[in-house]
Amino acid sequence: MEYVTIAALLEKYWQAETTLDEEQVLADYFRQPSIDIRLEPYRNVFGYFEEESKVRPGKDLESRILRSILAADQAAATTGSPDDPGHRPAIIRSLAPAIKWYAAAAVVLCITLFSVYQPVGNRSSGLPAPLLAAASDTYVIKDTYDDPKQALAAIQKALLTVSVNMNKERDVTGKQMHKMSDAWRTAMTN
Amino acid sequence: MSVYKRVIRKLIILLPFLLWGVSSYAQDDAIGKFFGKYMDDDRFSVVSISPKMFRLLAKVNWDTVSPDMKQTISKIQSLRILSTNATPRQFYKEAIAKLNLNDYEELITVRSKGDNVHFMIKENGNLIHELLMISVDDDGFTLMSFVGDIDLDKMARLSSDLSIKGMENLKDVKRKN
Repeated sequence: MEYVTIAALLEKYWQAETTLDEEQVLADYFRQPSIDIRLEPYRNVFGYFEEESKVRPGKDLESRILRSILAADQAAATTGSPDDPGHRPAIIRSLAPAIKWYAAAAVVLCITLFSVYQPVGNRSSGLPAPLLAAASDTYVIKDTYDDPKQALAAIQKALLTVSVNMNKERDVTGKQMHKMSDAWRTAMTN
Repeated sequence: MSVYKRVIRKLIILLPFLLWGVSSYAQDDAIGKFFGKYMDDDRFSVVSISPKMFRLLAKVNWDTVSPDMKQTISKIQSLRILSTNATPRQFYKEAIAKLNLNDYEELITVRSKGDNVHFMIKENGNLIHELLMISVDDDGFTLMSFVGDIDLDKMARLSSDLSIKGMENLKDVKRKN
């Protein structure tokens, strides 16, 4: 019975579908000294996870690593290892002090850039919100004309083109409707 | 002190990337990107009129402009046009592929013989706040974007005002150019 439940849970576990509680059940089961022989192979898996989760880096981890690097480095320098003839002593830099400056510089840059790139025209214009949103879409526009008169002419031309195209559509649908009703009529009469 | 120097050196290297990042953010809209790509291309003729210029229009003499036209223009904030006579079909295809047309609602599509015109709109509540026209035929490809408060009925009426004055064949004039 035990075997069936645990095997089912294990199957779920491999599919990564177990809940935390179910995982706890599995861990508890595998912690027992005697378990079903068929489940014995999986004991190590859970044992390993349990063991490893208890491992914590000691406070002196960094200095130990540094020391071992330095020791290896010194050994290489004094003995002059044959596979690395031009050996230079390692240069050790810590990121810790520099990172503060990176952070500070990044913040300052972001603030300046965003204030510079704010659409200048929108700040003081009392436009209603939707229009303001519309304007901010387009603040990258570089004017083609310096003269408002020319601009007005261009706008009129553009609007007329749009208008003509809109009416063209009306004509087309008109024609199509006509055609359709013709077809309809012939279909009905035959 | 060497930390300072190193940071400054790194910043100088990073600066162009940062600027580039910010400027691409500024042109985030698809139309803007498409415009940006072809703005300086010789094959294209470009017209762009900024909100600032639209405000300056108030200083111009409007006597010859019809009231409908006047009202329509007064509500527009910006205009961008990109058009070309070179390989129109190809650019049309590119535009359809590149522009994120999901943001737009298809308003009118006309397909007749070699003629393709799309009108797309972007709505903001009940207001139409952008009108995009993409048109292609054998003679040219045009991409036009109006941003502002757009009144479609009025826009459609503009050319009928004209036809009374005998300018019905405006589109033929356009073809000849």
